[in-house]
Amino acid sequence: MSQTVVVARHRDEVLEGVRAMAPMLVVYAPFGLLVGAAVAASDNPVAAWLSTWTIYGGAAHLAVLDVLHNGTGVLGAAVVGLLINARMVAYAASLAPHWRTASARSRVAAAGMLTDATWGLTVNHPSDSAAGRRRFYFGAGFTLWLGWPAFVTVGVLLGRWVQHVPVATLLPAMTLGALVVPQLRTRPGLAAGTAATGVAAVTSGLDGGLALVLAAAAGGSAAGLVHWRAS
Amino acid sequence: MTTVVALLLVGAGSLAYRMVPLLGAARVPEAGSRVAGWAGVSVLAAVTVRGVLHHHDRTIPCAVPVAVVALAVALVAAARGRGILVVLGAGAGTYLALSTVIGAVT
Repeated sequence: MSQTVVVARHRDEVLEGVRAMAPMLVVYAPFGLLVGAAVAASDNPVAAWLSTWTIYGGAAHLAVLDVLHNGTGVLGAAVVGLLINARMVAYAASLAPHWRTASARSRVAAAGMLTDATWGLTVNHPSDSAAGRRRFYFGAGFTLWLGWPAFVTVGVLLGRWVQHVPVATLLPAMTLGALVVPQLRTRPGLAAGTAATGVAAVTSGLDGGLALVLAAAAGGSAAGLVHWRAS
Repeated sequence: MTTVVALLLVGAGSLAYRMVPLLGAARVPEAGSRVAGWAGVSVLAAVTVRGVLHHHDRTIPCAVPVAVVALAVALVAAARGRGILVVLGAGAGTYLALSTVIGAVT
């Protein structure tokens, strides 16, 4: 295969990731505006805005700012934020097999772009090689990495209006649910989704971070059990 | 100062969550990676459920059941292989239609 053909194929895989993430940006826009509104209302808007890139998760970012706003203190805010973002460990560990042969620099870059939508799109992507999956990941991840802070920034200026459009706040949940659907076609995936849904319903009154950790434990255990019994 | 320290802690922790498994990718066993994938699916499912159960809409009296129906329509569209914009259009359209009807009746 000529070098030109290889380069074109690599570019196509990156562009495929960009195209997959582009509609997600529309969905994430209202959520980003909400986070921006919380950033504007915080005690230190500059620090809150800069942490868009380090926390890189709307739910954790919102929760930390909310806890700080209510005067619960540093420790409470940190625990809540770290619990909510604990899911990133699972996402990163599940992607590890595809990154074993990648350079340390590209693994660091990949880590900086990892979040729900990037992970969900990548695990559903039918790529036949680890390198192809990585290129798709970078296309999708970089698109959101540029878009998300832009929405938060706009939200700092005019995010308050989103709270008056209730359906807009429902869109991220629908998007993440749609990413789960393809995974339910395997028996372990179905077991994980069912167990997690039950736990999430029962623990809906609990703090978000703790509830997500419980759901992950229940779903992971249920799927592991189904997989173990089948093999 | 409190805000800065809290944001630094959460930011550093979040980066470590993402970086450690990827930088140590060679040491993550295949089975561990598989279980982590199921845990990831579980988290997305839980975030979806919580997003719907915690939904607020002051304009209608039963926002959560309406959100559940809208989510169900969106997931059916996703299961049929529709693109994300169609999925969201179906879900959001259902929500808007139901909330309009309920708002008119109540």
